[in-house]
Amino acid sequence: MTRVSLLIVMVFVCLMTMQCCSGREGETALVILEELEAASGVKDPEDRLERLDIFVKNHPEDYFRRLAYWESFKTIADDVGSLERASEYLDGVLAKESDHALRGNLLLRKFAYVFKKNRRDAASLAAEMLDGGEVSPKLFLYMAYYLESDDEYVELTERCLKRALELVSDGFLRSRILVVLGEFLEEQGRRDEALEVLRKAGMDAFSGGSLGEILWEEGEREIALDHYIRYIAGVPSGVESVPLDSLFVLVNGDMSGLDEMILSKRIIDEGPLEQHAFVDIEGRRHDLADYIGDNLVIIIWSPT
Amino acid sequence: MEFKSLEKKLGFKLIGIDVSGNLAKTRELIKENGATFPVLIDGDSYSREILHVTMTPTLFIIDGSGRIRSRLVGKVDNLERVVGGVLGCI
Repeated sequence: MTRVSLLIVMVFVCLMTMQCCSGREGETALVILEELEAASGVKDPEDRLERLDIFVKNHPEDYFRRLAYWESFKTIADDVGSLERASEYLDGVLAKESDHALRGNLLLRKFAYVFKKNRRDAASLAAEMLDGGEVSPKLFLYMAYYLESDDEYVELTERCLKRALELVSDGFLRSRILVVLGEFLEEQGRRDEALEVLRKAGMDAFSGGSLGEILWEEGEREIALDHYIRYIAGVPSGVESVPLDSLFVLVNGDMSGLDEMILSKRIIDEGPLEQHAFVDIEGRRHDLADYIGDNLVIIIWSPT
Repeated sequence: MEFKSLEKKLGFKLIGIDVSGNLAKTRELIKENGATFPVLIDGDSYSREILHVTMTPTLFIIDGSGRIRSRLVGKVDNLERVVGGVLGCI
């Protein structure tokens, strides 16, 4: 091989290596999702199942494999037309997956799917999970969200919420569960219990709305107002259900100071934002550390 | 909404983090809202496990030193007023 040819080959190899390395590292989450999207979009159900299975085998540890599992379940249940086979498929997945969050996510999706078709079957499923060994607090919390819409499942709703509480000792999730339990108890006419539970849920701004409502009815208007202000500070859209301006005037005579009170509760200090690297939907890499020095607003969303 | 002009006016950078893993719907939402800011993919549950997000949307305001100074749950209709209010005080 001549020197020029060797040089050309070396440059080519270097370029290919650079492209592969930077592309693979910088686009991993996007590439994985695009692969999943392609597999999920296959028209023939059996081909789709095969592609989804390949996806899971290619990405056995990836966070998004739960979506592939769910797509497979829906394909079998809806397109192939067999809920029984879909359930067997999911049982097979759950037998090999020990990730509690993933298990909880899949079981919740199955529960929600069944709930839409037959609430009684869904309730049986929830009861089975309560009697079994599932340890995802979100599973029980979100099943309770569904069940509480039906008066027939009051006891089951409460069991789910209390199980969720047993599974998480502190933090935002525990506060969320306490709010949902408190609101549930209030709806059942168990006001004292509701108050006791809601008072422990301070990390969740929604607790302010519920406490405000109860205490206002009980005539404790100043304390109720304080809770409402905390609620609106953390949940700005809460003004749609709480006429805070009017309530403030009723207690204080006029509106002066209200905006400042809301702002003072809105500004907190939760400590440093933990650094993390992401890929965006265009495949570009972003490091949260790059934003230090700027004020940053982050919107966490889900279109689904 | 004119996000770019708001960012410039109030002096902040805006990013979105999508937790759904649904590229098609995310892209649709971006188009519907005229979002010109980066939308990041949460591929390892950072939002839930680290930021402890329990509902979406949730909006965080981070100051220039990297500290979380506000956590707002649910839609924020008047972004300029709400974000501007906080940024004006931190």
